[in-house]
Amino acid sequence: MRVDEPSENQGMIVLQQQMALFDTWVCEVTDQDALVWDADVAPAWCARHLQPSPGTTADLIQLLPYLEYFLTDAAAFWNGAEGATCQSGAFVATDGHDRANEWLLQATATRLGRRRLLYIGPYRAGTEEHREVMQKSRELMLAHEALQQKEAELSLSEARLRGILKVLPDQVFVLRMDGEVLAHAGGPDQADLTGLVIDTVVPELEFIGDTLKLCLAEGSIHTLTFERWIGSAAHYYEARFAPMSVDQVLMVVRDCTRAKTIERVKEEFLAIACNELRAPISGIVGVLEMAREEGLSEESAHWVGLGLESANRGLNLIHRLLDLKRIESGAQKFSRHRIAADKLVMEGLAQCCAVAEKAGRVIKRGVFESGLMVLADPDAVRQVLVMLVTNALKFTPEDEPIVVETRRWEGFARVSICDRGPGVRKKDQARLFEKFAQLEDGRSREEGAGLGLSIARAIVERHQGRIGVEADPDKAPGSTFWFAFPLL
Amino acid sequence: MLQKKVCLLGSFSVGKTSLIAQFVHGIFGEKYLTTIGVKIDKRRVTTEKGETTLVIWDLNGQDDLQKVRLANLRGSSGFLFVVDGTRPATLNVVLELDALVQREMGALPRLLLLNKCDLQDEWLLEASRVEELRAAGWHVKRTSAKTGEQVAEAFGALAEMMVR
Ligand SMILES: Nc1nc2c(ncn2[C@@H]2O[C@H](COP(=O)(O)OP(=O)(O)OP(=O)(O)O)[C@@H](O)[C@H]2O)c(=O)[nH]1
Ligand SMILES: [Mg+2]
Repeated sequence: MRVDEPSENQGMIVLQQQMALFDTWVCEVTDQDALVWDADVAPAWCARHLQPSPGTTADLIQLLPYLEYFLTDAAAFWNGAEGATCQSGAFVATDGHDRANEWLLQATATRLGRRRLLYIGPYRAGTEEHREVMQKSRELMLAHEALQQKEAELSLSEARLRGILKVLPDQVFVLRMDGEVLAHAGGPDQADLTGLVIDTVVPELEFIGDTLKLCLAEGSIHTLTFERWIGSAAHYYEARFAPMSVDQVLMVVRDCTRAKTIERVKEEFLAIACNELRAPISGIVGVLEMAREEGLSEESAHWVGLGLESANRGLNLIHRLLDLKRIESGAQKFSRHRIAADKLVMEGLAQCCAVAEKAGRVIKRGVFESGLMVLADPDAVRQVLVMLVTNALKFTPEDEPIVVETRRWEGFARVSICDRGPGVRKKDQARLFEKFAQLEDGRSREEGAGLGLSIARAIVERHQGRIGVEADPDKAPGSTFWFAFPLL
Repeated sequence: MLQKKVCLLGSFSVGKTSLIAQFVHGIFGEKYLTTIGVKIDKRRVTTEKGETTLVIWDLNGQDDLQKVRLANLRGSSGFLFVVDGTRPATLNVVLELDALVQREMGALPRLLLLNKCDLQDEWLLEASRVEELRAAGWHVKRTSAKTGEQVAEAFGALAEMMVR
């Protein structure tokens, strides 16, 4: 089918429309042919110089598939009034598969006699600006959705937290640096304490200012204990502080009265039991010693010997427990001598070395810094040293030496005993110094060794000192036990 | 050759454009470029009944049903409804769109795609909800336009349903 030549007049109309829609293609289409002119050369077409590129309607649809639907959609319109126009939806044409090279187009159709004129140009609303606004609004909507989701999650987790706080026996406070209560939960009284200063709520916490500052400055957790007399009974509390933000601290107050009471009862029971057991076991030891004097047969002597050994072990354990009790309770008095740490340790080591050499073992001396003066009871320090050295020898293979050193360490004189044993595991390190600590690897209180560490700790603590162990068996064998006394 | 028009419908940013880009060109982009209007792609698939060309219409995500241009859906033989598994609200949009399409065009082959299944940690659609949908007659596939998981399978399954 041939396309009619456009008349002069009609050409003018097309031109005008083209000017309005700059960047527009104009096509003449029938159901089979399509003649495509480029907008840029349209004025020339008007002057009849244009060579339009001919093709089929199918070619055009191949280029812009959306048009197929527009052309069929607009079919009703083709039969409509002369000169009326009809617009397609917006559609995207791409240059390859690059999404950045998309153009958003729209087609407008006009019926002019037998010809159907199609103007294809940028979608009016589809300018770069429009796209940007759409993109932004989509992104905003996404952000809004995400926010709503977060809010829902937050309110759920808040409800959970409130539930947890309700069932906890502890009282929880959020404190500002100056001690003002910003929020609180739990505890016996339901009164609103917000806005009050903490020492009006808990008078015993009058001096926590420094703790709060320290907690915030170091970012670490601190613990304070205090007692309160209610009627004639003492109640014990523990307050823990953890930093929350730049100037806010979380404080959790727990009533430890029950735990304290149980601990006291346990201690008392232990003391009574030890005292009660000491007399009969001493009796057994005495009687067995007498029996040994009586010219026994070789077999009887063997049995009596074994019995005596066991009884002595029991007695020894009881004595150690009583020692520990005495030291912990403060009943044991320590002398206080100004003394050089290196000298004190050297003397103590002389004693250990004699025993070690007899057993064919080696104790090496590492660095001994001189002039580290401490205030201590020499006998007690020697007891700690001997205890730790004996312990180290016990766990080190026979052909390995142990090394003892004395150095200055942050305001302390620190004595370390380094062994080549299997190494104390991280999770056991804290419990090691507790009474009767039974460690998971079975390294336990052989011969009261566990008690020995508890006694050592009690002695060191009575001297305001520190004691500890360093080891990382996963990395290297061996443990370093150390104790430190404050420098004068 | 047989041609079948397929429309992808769903809320904005659920991954309609990405699913098509993965299926037709085998590519994926992280950047979100919202679609405005319509974009059409084609790909040939082989079904039990022989070769078919899928003419795939990528429509911009429409939450507002009034704005869905029904004219764009005309001539469709099937629909892929797309949900973003990390945004459960996008499932409600799809269910409303489906009701609209059923009302206007009758029952046509359709598949429900739970997209972005690579984002396991952020996945919020509960398994029980998905079971309910299956029980209600939906064909459901968990897809990822990013990894390509189940993408070709989804288009293939819809093609089979359309030529049957
Ligand atoms: N991780 C992941 N991201 C995806 C997946 N599909 C799409 N996306 C991302 O999601 C965002 C939106 O993807 P589009 O394909 O543009 O979404 P659309 O449905 O076409 O969005 P509208 O055109 O706005 O309706 C983009 O940033 C994509 O990279 C998917 O399967 N996994
Ligand atoms: Mg899109």
